[in-house]
Amino acid sequence: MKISKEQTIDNQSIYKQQGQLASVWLRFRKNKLAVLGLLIFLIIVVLSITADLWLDYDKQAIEHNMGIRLQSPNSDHLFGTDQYGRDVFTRIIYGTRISLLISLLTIVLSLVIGGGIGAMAGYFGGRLDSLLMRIMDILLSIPAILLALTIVAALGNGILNLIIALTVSTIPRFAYIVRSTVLTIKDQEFIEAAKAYGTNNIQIIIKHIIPNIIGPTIVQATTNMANTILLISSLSYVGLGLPSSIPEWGAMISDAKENMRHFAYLVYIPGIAIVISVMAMNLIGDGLRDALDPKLRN
Amino acid sequence: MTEEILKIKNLKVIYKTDTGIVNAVNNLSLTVNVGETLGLVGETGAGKTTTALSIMRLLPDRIGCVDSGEIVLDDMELFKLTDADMQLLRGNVVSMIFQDPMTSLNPVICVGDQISEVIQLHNPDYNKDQISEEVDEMFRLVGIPPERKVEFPHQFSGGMKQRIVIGIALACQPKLLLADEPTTALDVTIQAQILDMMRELKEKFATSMVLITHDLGVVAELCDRVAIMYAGEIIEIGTLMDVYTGDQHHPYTKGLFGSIPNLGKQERRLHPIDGLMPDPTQLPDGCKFFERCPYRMDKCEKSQPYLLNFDTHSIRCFLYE
Amino acid sequence: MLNFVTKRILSMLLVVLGISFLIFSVMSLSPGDPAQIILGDGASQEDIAELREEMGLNDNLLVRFFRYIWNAIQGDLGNSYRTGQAVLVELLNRLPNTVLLAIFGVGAAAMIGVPIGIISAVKQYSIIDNVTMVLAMVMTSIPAFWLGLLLMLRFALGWGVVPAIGVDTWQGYILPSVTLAIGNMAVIIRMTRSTMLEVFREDYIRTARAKGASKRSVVLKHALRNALLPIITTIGINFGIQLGGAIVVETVFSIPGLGTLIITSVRQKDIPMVMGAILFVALMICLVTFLMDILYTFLDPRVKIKKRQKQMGVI
Repeated sequence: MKISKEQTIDNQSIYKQQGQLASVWLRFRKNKLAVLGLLIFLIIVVLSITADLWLDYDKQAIEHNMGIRLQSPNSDHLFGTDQYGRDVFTRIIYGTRISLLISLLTIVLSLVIGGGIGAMAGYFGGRLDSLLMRIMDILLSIPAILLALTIVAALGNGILNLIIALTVSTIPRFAYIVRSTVLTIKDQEFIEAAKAYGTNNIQIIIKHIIPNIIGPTIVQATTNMANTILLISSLSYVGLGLPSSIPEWGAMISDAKENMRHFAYLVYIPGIAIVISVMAMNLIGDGLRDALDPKLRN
Repeated sequence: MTEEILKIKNLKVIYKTDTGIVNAVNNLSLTVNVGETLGLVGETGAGKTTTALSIMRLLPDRIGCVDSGEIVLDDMELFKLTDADMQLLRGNVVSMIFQDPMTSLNPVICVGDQISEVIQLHNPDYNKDQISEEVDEMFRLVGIPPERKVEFPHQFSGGMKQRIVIGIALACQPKLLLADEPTTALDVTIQAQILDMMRELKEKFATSMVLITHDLGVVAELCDRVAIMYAGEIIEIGTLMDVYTGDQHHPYTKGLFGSIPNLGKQERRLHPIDGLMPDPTQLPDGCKFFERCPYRMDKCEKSQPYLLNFDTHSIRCFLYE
Repeated sequence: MLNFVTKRILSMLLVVLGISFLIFSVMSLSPGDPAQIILGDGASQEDIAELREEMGLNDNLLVRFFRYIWNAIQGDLGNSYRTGQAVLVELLNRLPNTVLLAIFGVGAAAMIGVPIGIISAVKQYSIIDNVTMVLAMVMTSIPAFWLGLLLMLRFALGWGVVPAIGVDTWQGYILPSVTLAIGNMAVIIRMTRSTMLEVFREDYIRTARAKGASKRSVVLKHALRNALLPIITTIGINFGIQLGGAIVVETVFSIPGLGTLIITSVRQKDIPMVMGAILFVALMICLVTFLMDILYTFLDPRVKIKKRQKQMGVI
């Protein structure tokens, strides 16, 4: 079967990607810290998914049980209990669910919307580009917390509004990275060649542009996920994120404030959970960045 | 009896990379006499720049390493010097200019200061006026009005930037100048100007020079002697006449000259040398040119040929035994 | 030269306008009728309607926005729903504390972070470098409010060397500044290091060494001067993010600044106060970005010359 010239050009692009995928993974594997990050992340994911199997959410994490309140870590309660008698360990584990779900949702939404905006701006250029990026600039100049506070101020508390706030502040970051990748690729020769063979815009986008965007976007996604987790905990700490019974690490720290002098473990433990999760994401992000472009390292 | 300004003996330089050890320079020996210009010719990757960097002791920090050998510059054994001592030599006794003038100058320092820096480094007792005078003089010598010394590199064209680079290199009148492809990045017309200027200055300051290039035409303009490098070795060396004329040459040299398009002749195709240089991480035992040589013999594959000397002309090839 | 600065100022004002409009629009989505809130629950429908007319609440979004801006320029940012006092007065009261905190935080972070970043770059691959990088990474993963609490636990409640909350004495600024500085420092260290490493790879560094310049001179004179430009710009850009962190840190230490004001106002749904406070913060950020821009122009000879040439009509 004779392969047409168009297919050859398309295939070149795809084969390039497949070969690259394997070598990226190999390079990533060499980076011990990055692999550690990935491991931690996977553990967190597994814990959050399987939590119901071995923990009792309502009884341990939600119900108040004043009889056993403020117990330091012991054999019954690995991380102790809080001021309402709730088992800290259970709350921490369920906290992974909250952090993961909300940040994942945020990242996916902002990736799709922001990436779409960035791709359009980069690909079509001109006035559309200027307009879109101006708006992105304005969004970017507002610190994420401020934006989140504004939205919460206007629309009230709650998970939905939290997600909206987080998504809006993350969109410009994805817009920028996608746009700059698109701009770089747009000018490369294999795009011109593909156009010359009559490939229309949509096909070009799907076959050539998207595979090249994946790398930098994923790096950005991990970094943004780390930041989002931090942001969620900060907002919950000031009491403007989620309803208070929900086991979110930032809220737990806030609750712990009043007893922190004598029951410091209530402050330490959720904080450590945050640090570990965010670090894992950062390590993965750094590792991916190095693996995608090893030239930058040395 | 001519004095030697530079003597390299059995230099072996390697690069330690992730993919293996690169044998960049293999057992290289050469001398440069006072006042002469030696052309160092070869393809990309032959080891020319590495040799020059070794003389300057500017090999990349963790990666480049002199495995063995000796370099004597102006009667000083370079590898026995401390870093501090070497600093005193650089820019002062031996200077190097690099290929790309566009990126060789610091963009945020004015060009006058970039020349005065080298003068100041090696003449700490000069006062500001003396330095200023010397800077002005240097500008004049390289053909740039001294009033422009307050301007910044981006305000000059490529050719003028290279003049400034040459000015920096010669400001302290070094005894030896290493010029690594000084005109490769320039237009052909500018190239001629720069070469003329280099010839003038070289004569004026009686500077010896090693001119690294892959352009045989440039060599013919400036050089007294020529060394041809291949895969980290010198495979032919002699006076300009020795290498450019006559019948006895290393097969590689023959290939080089044969591949130059000739305006006089009617040709249909170019005559490049077939094949590529051997992988520097896996060099063959025998003659490095074996794979590509049209005159190869069995002996060449297993034994490393040595330099055969014919008066001023030396050739590393069993053909001439 | 003046022309250039004016253009930049205009650009900055446009961004501020954009931010204000954005926030104003979001705020206007808030449920609840301002007129009703002001008059209280017992007010009659007619009174509410009358007040709405008076306050111009029935006009469309754009009209209300520009009215707000027009008033703002004249110094009237409305009155707090809670206290009824002028918003501007309260903001000006709180502003100095936040500014001081921000300056300490960024200043300390830069003064310590830049040298560490340089050292890390010069000693790349060494133990110092690796340890610094890991530490910097950990520092960026620590939430500022938690760090603040930990420091408070140890230094204020534990050893009692500094006050835990408030700024009645200047020592009250110590813990919050350190908290902010640590987080900011990590970013600056990483950024400085990577910029220096990039500059080290440039050809003109090789030229400098070929001149016989010492390594120290090469780093400080040649490399740093080039690296400083992007480093300064990043510090400026980062300022905005830091201000966000400052808001939360203020709450931890109960500092009476813009941050705590915003948060309490949000909780109390005091819309004019929230609007005014956020506007102030946005203005501060834009101002800093603008100043960084101007500073960059002064420091980078390439930019300066082009401007002069343009003015002279040479290009």
